[in-house]
Amino acid sequence: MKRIPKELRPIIIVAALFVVVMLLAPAQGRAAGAASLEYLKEMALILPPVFFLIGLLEVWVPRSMVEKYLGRKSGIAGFAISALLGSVAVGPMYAAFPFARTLLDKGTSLFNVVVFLTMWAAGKIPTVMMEAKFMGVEFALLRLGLTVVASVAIAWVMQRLIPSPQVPQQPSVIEDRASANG
Amino acid sequence: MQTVLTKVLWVVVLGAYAVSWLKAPQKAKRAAKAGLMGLAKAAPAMLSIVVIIGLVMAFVPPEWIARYLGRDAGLWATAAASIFGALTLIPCIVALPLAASIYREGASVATVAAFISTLTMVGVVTAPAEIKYMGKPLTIWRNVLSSLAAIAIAGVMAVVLR
Repeated sequence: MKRIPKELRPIIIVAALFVVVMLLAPAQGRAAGAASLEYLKEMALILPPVFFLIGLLEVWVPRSMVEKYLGRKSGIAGFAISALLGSVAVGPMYAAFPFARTLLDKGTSLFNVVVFLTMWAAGKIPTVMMEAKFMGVEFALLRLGLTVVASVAIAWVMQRLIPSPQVPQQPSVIEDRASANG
Repeated sequence: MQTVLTKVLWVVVLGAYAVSWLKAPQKAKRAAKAGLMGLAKAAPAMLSIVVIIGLVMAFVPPEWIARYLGRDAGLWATAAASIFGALTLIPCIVALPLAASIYREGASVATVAAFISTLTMVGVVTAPAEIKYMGKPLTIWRNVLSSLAAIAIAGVMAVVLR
């Protein structure tokens, strides 16, 4: 029997869980299916452009340029660019990880990658605008400001804790290209 | 709002590919191929996130959360909101109206702030996907530190907006 590829394991486990739920609690199962379908639509619209953008980034943007603007010596400008990149983002957090990985591979400092991720998560402009509508402008702006401060704190501590980040090889698109050629 | 932005993203990306194609068709092809491969590799992990969100929404309906977290304004509610926000993944379109209704039901500013911050910054459901791309040490530390930051943000907001 062939071993199940590692890549497919999460979806198989989750699918099995869904089947169990369907059998034991059909009503909840149906509700879960409907909700999943709704989010699947959102994901199907957002992930392709994100990955195609990553593709362009990998091919067109030289490492030297990323290093210069976002690397270890990019300073406050590098921080500002990273925070801005994260906050103008469209799409949920899970879309940010492949993007962050590409930035890291291209020579972005860990500090700036963490700032980017934190701002993507909690400081997205579209989300903050929606938050202002629901919770008030004061609430939304204060939380945005504090998120910027938090991103710096988190990034600073992480840079201290993990001086040379080791990332898993597998999902990098760059590696794919190398193996496709060889 | 969200759908408009998604459209804008598509237009920007397609425009960038058009420019790329005009300047160097070979490079545009390579970029598209890299994009497709990335997408294919990401698909299983991403799909499992969607199924988990669906299951969570079915078993813990947002109205329950609002009623539970809105019941009292104490520290307990804030702690519960933080844990709840960290463990679940609710899309912003659902989460923000939910936050507003928690607030209306009587939750404190700290509770609402902790809920929004942990919900966005900390992700247990997305951790496997995060580990896949960023590795274990980065993922664990980012989530731990983000939890602490979320609590700090909630504390400051409670003091400022009192």
